[in-house]
Amino acid sequence: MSEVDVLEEVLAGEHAALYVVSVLGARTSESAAPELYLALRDAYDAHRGRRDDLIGRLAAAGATPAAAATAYELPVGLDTVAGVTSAALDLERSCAEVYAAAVAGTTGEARTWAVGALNDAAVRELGFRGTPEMFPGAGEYADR
Amino acid sequence: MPARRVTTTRRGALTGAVGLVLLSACDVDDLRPPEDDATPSPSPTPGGTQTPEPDADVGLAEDAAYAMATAQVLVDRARRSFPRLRDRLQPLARMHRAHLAVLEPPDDRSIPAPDAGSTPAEALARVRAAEQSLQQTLASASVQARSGALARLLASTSASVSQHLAALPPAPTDGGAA
Repeated sequence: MSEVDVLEEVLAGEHAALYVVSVLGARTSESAAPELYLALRDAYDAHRGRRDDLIGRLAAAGATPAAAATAYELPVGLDTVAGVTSAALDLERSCAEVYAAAVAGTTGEARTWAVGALNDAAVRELGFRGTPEMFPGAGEYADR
Repeated sequence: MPARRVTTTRRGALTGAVGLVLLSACDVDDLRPPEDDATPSPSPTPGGTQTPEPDADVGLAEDAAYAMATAQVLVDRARRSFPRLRDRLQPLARMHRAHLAVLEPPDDRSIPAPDAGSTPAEALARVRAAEQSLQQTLASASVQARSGALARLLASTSASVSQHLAALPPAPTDGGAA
């Protein structure tokens, strides 16, 4: 898999993440759950920034960045604050795994980007009641 | 980066890329690094392929482990010196142990005894600064690694340090000695 292929895959993940987090935000009341609302807004901004950055990187590499799909599969249980929080945490953990995999599949500046994205996603997890992990994005090492 | 202090490294850490379990929102199984992978070259050498040199990463892993162990020694010293920091710094102590269980730990005797400071607040500030430095060291090492698997592992440890730093409670406000 080439580096462009890797970035394409990460972009596909960002498109989906942006869709899901926007739905989570739409289902969250700013007045009833202000902390969650702010955390989701920050997550939306972060994923939008990563998506735009990836599009720019791919275009600069001569590739044609894929557009987002019309819709993506949503998590279940979004009727409560706890459900939305849990879904957001799962989302960030999944994205951390994607970024960690991208670290392995890239070099140089693109890898630096992926390392930064992994660190950011790991910290964002804490905003969704996540607790610090031993190996964000690479949980298999925690079992050793 | 300190000089290397160990001569052996758990090679499995360099090659132990394993499973990804992803949600639909970030479904990129194709990104899973293969076992014993070498980092892909964005610009292959014309006329031939480069042979992976995983041994080039051994020193990098040793230096990363030494940096982790150095931070761990400071955390342990701060916890011993200031009992009120024991619980507060326990997650960091556990994190360092977990990371060093994957990357072969160096001989503790090769690490200079740190000065944890004279107050809990000072100790906490020194620990925080040391962890921030460690996070940057691990992130940089990740970028330098030839092996994609090692790069991923080091990036994950740097992210773990970032998380623990973000979750670290603030320094005691009274600055008491114990």
